[in-house]
Amino acid sequence: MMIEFKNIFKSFDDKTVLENFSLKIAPGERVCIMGPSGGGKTTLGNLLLGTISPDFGEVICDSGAISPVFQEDRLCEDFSALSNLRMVLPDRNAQKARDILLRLLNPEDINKPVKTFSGGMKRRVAIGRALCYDKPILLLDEPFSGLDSYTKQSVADVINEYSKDKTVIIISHDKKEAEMLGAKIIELK
Amino acid sequence: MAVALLLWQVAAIWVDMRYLLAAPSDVLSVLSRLLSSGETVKILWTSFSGITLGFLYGLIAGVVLGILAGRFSAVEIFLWPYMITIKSVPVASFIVLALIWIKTTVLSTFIAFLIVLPIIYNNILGGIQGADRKMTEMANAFSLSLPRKLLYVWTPAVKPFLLSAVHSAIGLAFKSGVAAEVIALKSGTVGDMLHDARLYLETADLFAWTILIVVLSAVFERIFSGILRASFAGLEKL
Repeated sequence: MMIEFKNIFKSFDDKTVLENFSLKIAPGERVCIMGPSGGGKTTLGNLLLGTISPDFGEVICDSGAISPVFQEDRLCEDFSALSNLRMVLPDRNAQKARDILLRLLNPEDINKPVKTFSGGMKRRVAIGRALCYDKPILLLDEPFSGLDSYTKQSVADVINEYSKDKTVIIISHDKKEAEMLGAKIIELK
Repeated sequence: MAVALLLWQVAAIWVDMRYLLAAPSDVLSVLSRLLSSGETVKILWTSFSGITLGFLYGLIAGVVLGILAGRFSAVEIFLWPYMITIKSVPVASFIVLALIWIKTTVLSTFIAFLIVLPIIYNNILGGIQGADRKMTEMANAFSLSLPRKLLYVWTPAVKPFLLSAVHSAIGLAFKSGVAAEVIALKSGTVGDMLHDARLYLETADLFAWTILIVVLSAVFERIFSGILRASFAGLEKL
């Protein structure tokens, strides 16, 4: 499924974030959108998800085909890590959710409420949820924020394993993260 | 507590008119007499069952209507004048009107229902409308079904509102329910006992029945809130 941004203009409170931005992402491609803070990286993610619309231009993408990791974790804090993953599965398949979580967390933590987790653990649950929701496009907004370098690599391995043949869009400001996920870098100026 | 009781006793001695201010010792003696009588349990049960039934009807209706109004703004607009009216009209006006419309046997149930309904409705609606926009976006991004949105997004948003609403609603249901019994002169109820105590200037009886209904309301509030909290905890384990 081709993704295309066509001549996008987007402003917030008279501040132009995207100006005549165009990009094509081929199916199965892995790209990392990089740029300074406030440079419009997350705006591109939100345009893909359809939570905002461009002022001008066109976004060609089926937002229903995206499995997202948001910039904030957006987890159901009162529920367990396992429940957060089962939530996005049509059949609430506990086995699939458990298999993914066991790659990301210690076994004793998967049934604990997310509100008791550290920032890094919550991030891993958010990544697990996106991997569980099996869609052709994986959108990762700052996926490794709050993770130490060792954990980053192990989480990147899990992402790579579960995202084979998928289109992966990473939003980041760290080139190393793009390398870990084997993504082509696109810099926003 | 001990200081308050002592002050009360001193004030009763100083006033020295039992029909104006009964002494705590007199109230305790009436309480022990009432508690040893089987008739008291029957009276308390009649009042309790009528009022709690009204509370439960109000709770169910408030939750259902609150969810519908939170989901469909047309429902909120449609219900707005009714909810404002119920909330603003004095309880006494409703009691007198209801006396004309319905049987006195169900009056306390009806009045408790009317008092509880807008409290629960407004809190449920506030919880749903105040749900984190980002969580709603998350639910849409993962195409969550309506039951799952209800469980994972709206229930956590509504939980603190509902617990607080139930806390206030139970107290108000008992206050207004007993007031309805007093005005309706429903026999064999706490309201009837309060009316008799006022008529015969039995202030100690009035205090004793008041204490009994306050304790009953507080115990019910504790038990019901506990059940509600346990139910939320059960849902969170799904």
